[in-house]
Amino acid sequence: MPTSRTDLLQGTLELLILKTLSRDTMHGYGIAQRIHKEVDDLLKIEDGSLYPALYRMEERGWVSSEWGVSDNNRRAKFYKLTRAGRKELSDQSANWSRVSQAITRILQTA
Amino acid sequence: MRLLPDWPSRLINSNSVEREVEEELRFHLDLLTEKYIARGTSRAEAERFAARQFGNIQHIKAKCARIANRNRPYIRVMRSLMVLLLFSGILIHFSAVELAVRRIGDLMVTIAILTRVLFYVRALKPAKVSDTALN
Repeated sequence: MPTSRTDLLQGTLELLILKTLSRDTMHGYGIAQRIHKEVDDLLKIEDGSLYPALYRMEERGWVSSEWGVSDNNRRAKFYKLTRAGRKELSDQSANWSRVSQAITRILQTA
Repeated sequence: MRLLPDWPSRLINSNSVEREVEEELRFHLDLLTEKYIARGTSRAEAERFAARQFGNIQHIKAKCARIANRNRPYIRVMRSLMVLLLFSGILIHFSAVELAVRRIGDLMVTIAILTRVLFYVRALKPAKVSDTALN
């Protein structure tokens, strides 16, 4: 078990959700499990924080949602990436690369 | 079995939007609880772990309901109509020669602005969320 996990930076949760949904259509629980699986040892993310982010992203037209039936035969709301969401993912990924490159460079030289 | 589709009520009924938020969050909490039970914890303990993993439920519910209400189709249509009304009113005000017609333009602008203020005030109001489903 890791000794320390970092709180997620403002705005990066949306990027994680966009990336997760770029592979599959998923319900909120599925998105949370996928993110935990990938980064649980590094980042501290409360599952509930995904939902306001998902609702905001739907409002902006980055994701669309539809009620369906889950693997355990229960009604669940599924989210999928829209075309605008794919563009946003590409923009945010590029931006993130620039920011992390800049920070890495400063940390290495300073 | 449902005889009628539920989307017409969702267009205008904020309670059905809030029920959907509750149903979605409940689904997540139930699966989290089941996950912990499958790992061998008691139900009470699993529920406690699930609640901790999920975060402040009341706060999240209210936040989601507020965004969902703001995002309802009829609200979006109304917003677009009000923008149309605003610009039409301004156009009429500046292009009309007759005073009576200009007054109609003024009225349109006033209605559009007042409606925008009303939406803003409603958005500030905390969303109504029942405490029965998720506690």
